[in-house]
This record gives sequence, C-alpha cells and structure tokens, in this order.
Amino acid sequence: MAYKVKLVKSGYNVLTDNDPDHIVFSSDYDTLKYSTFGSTQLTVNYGDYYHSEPSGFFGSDIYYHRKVVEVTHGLGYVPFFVGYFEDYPSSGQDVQLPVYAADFLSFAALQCYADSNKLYFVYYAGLENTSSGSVTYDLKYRIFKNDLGL
Amino acid sequence: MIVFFNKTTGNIEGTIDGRVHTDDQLKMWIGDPAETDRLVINWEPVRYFNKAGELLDFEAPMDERYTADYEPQHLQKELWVLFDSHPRLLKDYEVFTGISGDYLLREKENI
Repeated sequence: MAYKVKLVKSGYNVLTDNDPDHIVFSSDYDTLKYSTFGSTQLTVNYGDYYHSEPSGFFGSDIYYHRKVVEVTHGLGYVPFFVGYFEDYPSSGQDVQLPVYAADFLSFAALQCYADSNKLYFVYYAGLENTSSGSVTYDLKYRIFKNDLGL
Repeated sequence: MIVFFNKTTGNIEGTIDGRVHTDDQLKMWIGDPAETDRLVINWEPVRYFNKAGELLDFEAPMDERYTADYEPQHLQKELWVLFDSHPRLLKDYEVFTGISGDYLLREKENI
C-alpha cells in the first residue's frame, strides 16, 4: 500500500474525493517551496543613455536607456521566481513584473528573468527628450526552491 | 535580514528578508561583490516558554521548550525590530562603520 498525505476542504470526503479543487494539500502534487524573499533597487541615470535619434517630430529626440540589477541566488538551476515593482506613491501597489508602459513617442519596460546563478531585473526604455536626471525603482523578489527545468 | 550596501557610499542596494537565514540565503549576493558588502542580522531566542505559556529558565531542557521570543543580534536591535514589521523604512537609512568597526545604520541626510 502506498502512503500519502492528503488534506481536503471542509465538507469533502478525504477517502474518495480526488478533485484537486477540493484538496488543500496532497503529496500526489508538487507544491511551491518558498525559499527567499527580499528587495533591491534599480537606479537609472538618464545621462547614461546608450543611443539617441530624432523622433521624427520637430525638437524631439528619443533617448534609449538600459539598466540591469542582479541578485545572485547561486542555486545551480533556474528557480521559480516572482518579481514585483513597488509602484509608490503612484498607485500604492506592488505590481507583478513585467510592467510595460508606452505613449505616442516613449516606452518603458521593467521585467525580470533568471538563470542558474542569478535573478536579473532589467529596465529598458526609449524616452522623449530624457537625457538627464535619474529615477529609482524599488523592487521585490520571491525565489522558490522549485526547479523550473529551463 | 541581510542587508547589502555599497562599501563606499553606504547606500543600501538590497535585502534578503527574514529572521533566521538558511545556507542557501547565506550564499546569495546582491550587487557587484567588488563594490558591496553585507550585514547579516540573525534573530536568536532570548526567552523560552512552556506549553502553558509560562516563562522558563533560559537553561531549561529542550523538551520543556514549547515556544520562544526572538530578538535581533545587533547593537541597534530596536531598529531591526522596526524594519522587521516595516521593511520599507529601511530605505531612509544608510550603513556606516562605527568606531569599533561594526556596521551600523544611520538616517540618510536630505531624504
């Protein structure tokens, strides 16, 4: 006889009900195994743009920016992860990445990805007439032990 | 909590949250290792209680200990208690080296 651990929601029969929607926990199914959570910051200095070109409209140039911040997890495999952008004080929410924004001439993207050693937060943007000043984005991350197999 | 900061400016570049850190977390790093250092704040038990909630002698046997109160092990433990419940407040602080060589926190100027 195989042994397992199984917990069902109130009102369901643990011996007969195998509907995953009725199960709180079952050793038949893998679960997310939380490992680490934390925060970091990404600061973009607009003077460090890597390319600029006329937008096509008089007096308007587009400046292209890219910045990467790294979190070394050192797990040796690509883990399940989630990244968040703290949208304060605008919406007051932690927004799950990726985040994209655009208007007629400008665009900006904030996303995250991982390899077997690091988690990367990447900002890239093409902004109208933005070649000075800076902005800092507050980021949060969650890394799980689960191997994505990527 | 583990705080990663720029060794030159003291600016905090990232954190790993939590009270007791695993080996996996202690192998992690945020930022350029050549430019950053870290401050590891572990919480350790300071009081033990039995199952009835009664305070035990600190040297009480393990099988009598049911739960514990934890505190951060750092000179500025009151600050770390605050950051444990309000981690966003850490953004107003920077790291500096105290007279005794310990890493300490102070509020940033011109926040």
